[in-house]
Amino acid sequence: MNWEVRTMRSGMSFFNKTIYLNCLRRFWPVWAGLTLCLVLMLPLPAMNMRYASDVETLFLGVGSYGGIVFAFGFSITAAMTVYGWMYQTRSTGFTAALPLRREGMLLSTAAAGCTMLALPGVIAALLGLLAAGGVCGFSAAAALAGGWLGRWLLLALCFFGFATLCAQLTGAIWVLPAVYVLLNVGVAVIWYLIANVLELLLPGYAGEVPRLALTLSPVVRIFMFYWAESPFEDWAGLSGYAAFGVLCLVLSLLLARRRRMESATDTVAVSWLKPVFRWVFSIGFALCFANFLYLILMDGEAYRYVPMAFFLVLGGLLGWIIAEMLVRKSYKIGSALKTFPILAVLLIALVAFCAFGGLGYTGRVPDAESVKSAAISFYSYSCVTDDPAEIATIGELHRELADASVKEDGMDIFITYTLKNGGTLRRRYAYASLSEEGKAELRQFLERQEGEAISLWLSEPDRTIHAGVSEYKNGDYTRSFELGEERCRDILRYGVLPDMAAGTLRAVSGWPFDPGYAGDEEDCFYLEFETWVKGEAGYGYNRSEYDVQSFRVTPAAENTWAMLEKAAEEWEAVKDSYSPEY
Amino acid sequence: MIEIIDLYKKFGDFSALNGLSLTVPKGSVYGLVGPNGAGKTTAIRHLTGVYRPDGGKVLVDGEPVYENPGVKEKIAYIPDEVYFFPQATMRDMAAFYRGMYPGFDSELYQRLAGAFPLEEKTPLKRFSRGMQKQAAFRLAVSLRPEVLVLDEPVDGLDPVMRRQIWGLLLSEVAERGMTVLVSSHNLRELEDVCDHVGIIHEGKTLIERSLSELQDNMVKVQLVLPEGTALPPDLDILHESRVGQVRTLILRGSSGELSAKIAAVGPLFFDLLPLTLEEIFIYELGGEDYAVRDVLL
Repeated sequence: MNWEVRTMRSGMSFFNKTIYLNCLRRFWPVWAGLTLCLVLMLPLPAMNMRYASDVETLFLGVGSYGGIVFAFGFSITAAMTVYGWMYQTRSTGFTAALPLRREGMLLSTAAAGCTMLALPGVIAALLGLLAAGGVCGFSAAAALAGGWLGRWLLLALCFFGFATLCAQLTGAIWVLPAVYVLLNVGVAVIWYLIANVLELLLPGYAGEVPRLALTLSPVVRIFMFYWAESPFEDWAGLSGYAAFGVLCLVLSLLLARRRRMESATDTVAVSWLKPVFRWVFSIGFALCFANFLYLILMDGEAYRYVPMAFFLVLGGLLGWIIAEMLVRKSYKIGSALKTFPILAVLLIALVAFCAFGGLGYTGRVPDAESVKSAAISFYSYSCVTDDPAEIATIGELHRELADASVKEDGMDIFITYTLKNGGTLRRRYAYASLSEEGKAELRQFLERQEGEAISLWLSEPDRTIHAGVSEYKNGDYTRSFELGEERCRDILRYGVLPDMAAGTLRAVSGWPFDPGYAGDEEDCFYLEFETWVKGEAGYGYNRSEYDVQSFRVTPAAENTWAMLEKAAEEWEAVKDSYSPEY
Repeated sequence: MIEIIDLYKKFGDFSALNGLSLTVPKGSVYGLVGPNGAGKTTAIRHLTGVYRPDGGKVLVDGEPVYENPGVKEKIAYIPDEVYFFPQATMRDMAAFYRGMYPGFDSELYQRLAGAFPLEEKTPLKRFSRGMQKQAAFRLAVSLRPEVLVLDEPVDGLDPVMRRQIWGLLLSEVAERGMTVLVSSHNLRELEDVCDHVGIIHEGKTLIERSLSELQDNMVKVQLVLPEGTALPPDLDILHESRVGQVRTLILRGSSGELSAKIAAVGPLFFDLLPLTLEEIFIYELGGEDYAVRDVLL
């Protein structure tokens, strides 16, 4: 019969008021500091605002992004304080001797940590409500402050739960923030480092970070989630992260019940995690070390297999020794290197994998029948197509690139297939891999595609919403200004289109090796139109929200030139006014 | 009653306890002694529920200690280096103990202010080591524990305070039947207060008896034998030294039995002397390859 069966649970098993209040009282600087930060971030600026839109931006923009930063930072601070007793022999002896079960201790301290994060949020939201209510009305302010508070609480739960789990993994307080940061970004960083090695060594590798790597790196994922998708109303997504935090708390509870108090001051507190730590640390160190040495010693030159293998093994050895020292808390590592050869072989195998074309990775070209659509991009050109004939053309170019796969670090061609089975295949090759005929074919193909895209754009001037103009005179950029929607559409209709028809103006999408492309000393305007194309086919491979068309306008393009000269003069007259556009 | 039965504990590759067994009778003052690294503190940390045993049992009144708040409420523990919350005052710690231990006696705590004159509002970390020990004793006694576990308890205390504290503890033992387990290297002091002694070595119990039994079972003999006379062959000699004709022997056995045996060989002179706890400790461990060695510098 083990101790869990023989001992009785009591009311003290799950929550202890004394521990909870003691934590809040002793660590008041943490929650008071957080309250100050949040008040400085939300209610205080809101008091000085005059427009409802500004208040909305404050709560949804600064408040949300700042909320991530503060939730991330103060979660680990709160964890370091409330769980600080686990990291000293004396304090563990004192605390573990108290008449309280391990789960009671964890839940009481975790509740205190959550309160230290939640309370400042509630205070900031209430003050924010009062401050914003005078600007945009109390019902709108309540929605903004309530929404912000909800997001704050969910994020705080996510990060504090994660910090709690990290606290159980180590016995050294200085290791805790390192573990927290590394586990928050670790998978994405390790994948990035591996991708960097593959990009340097494996022809065809296009360097993508898989979604799973991001998902396993919570803070990276949350930041990207916020920035990329603006999920201000995506409560399901945020609740998912909060649920992740709760899951971490549950795992922490399981670990806390089995925690050995003698692990205080140990780098890794969970014995079965020690080999995992040794391996992950060594691999991470090997990748960092090898990438760094390769960068400074190989001058960015790709495909140097032997040096990379040497750097990886050397980095792995150093990482292994450091990891062992950290685990043993000693400079003596004894026979710890016995299993290192396995890691060395794996690192060399990674390099060998690249040297031999990634076991068919480099040369793989999908059958045209299995491809739904294909995209190719090179320099500023890009196109996507689902036309079988064009897919076949891309496939032929791909085959030539893969067969030659010249290992030259320079300008790259990216090819992406969307397969009928739902998968994607993305490759990157050096432009130098193509024969002269292949290069000509690629140019012809891309310029035809580009021409079609430009034609499509020109046929719908109303999609153009903005333009930026830079004047280049006497060998220097003299002034820059921006054109609003109506103005830039006028220039497009009555300047650019007639000049293009007359052959005096063409889009600067330019082939990179054409002489004179990069500009000469002639006076000109650089004109850049911004066009709303989100979700539209035919506007190039990169279907972001905007597409950009650039022109280099010389005096030969008489209509455009005259309109831009006039716009420049008008801009001079109003440039000191409030609006940057006119 | 405290029972430690066949207790094992390893730290990595190092075995700290190798089947340790102890029995501390209720209402006794039990001295736990042993050389450095013998496992005394490890045993105490099991007894206070800090460490989880790798094997064996630690019971107080028949119930396991580990993860058992009901039992731990009865135990007060003063470690070698006492711990208080950073910045905490005597008053803060008393409030904390009051919340944690249902048996905390606030009235007694106030009464003990006379015996331990400590400033209530000064952070404890500003106190000297001895004053911190006094604070720990005041708090521990205020818990009205059934079991008091002390690890090097009077280190840092002046002789007056030592005597005062032992007097207080012994009166608690006498009045309430409190059990005290004390680990110390100060054997002279233990001899004055303990009624039971356990000697442990390399994580195992070497000997465990009441102090009087222990002293009855080992004697020091000084004797002079006539020329050509040998010692009785069945003596259990733990140590022997000689100055001129005078031989000093440390013998295991009761004084009556040994007197008879020695008298039988007709010594010119002999005398039996009681051993101090320190001497018992040294000679018992000498038999376990832990003898005092001459140090050459």
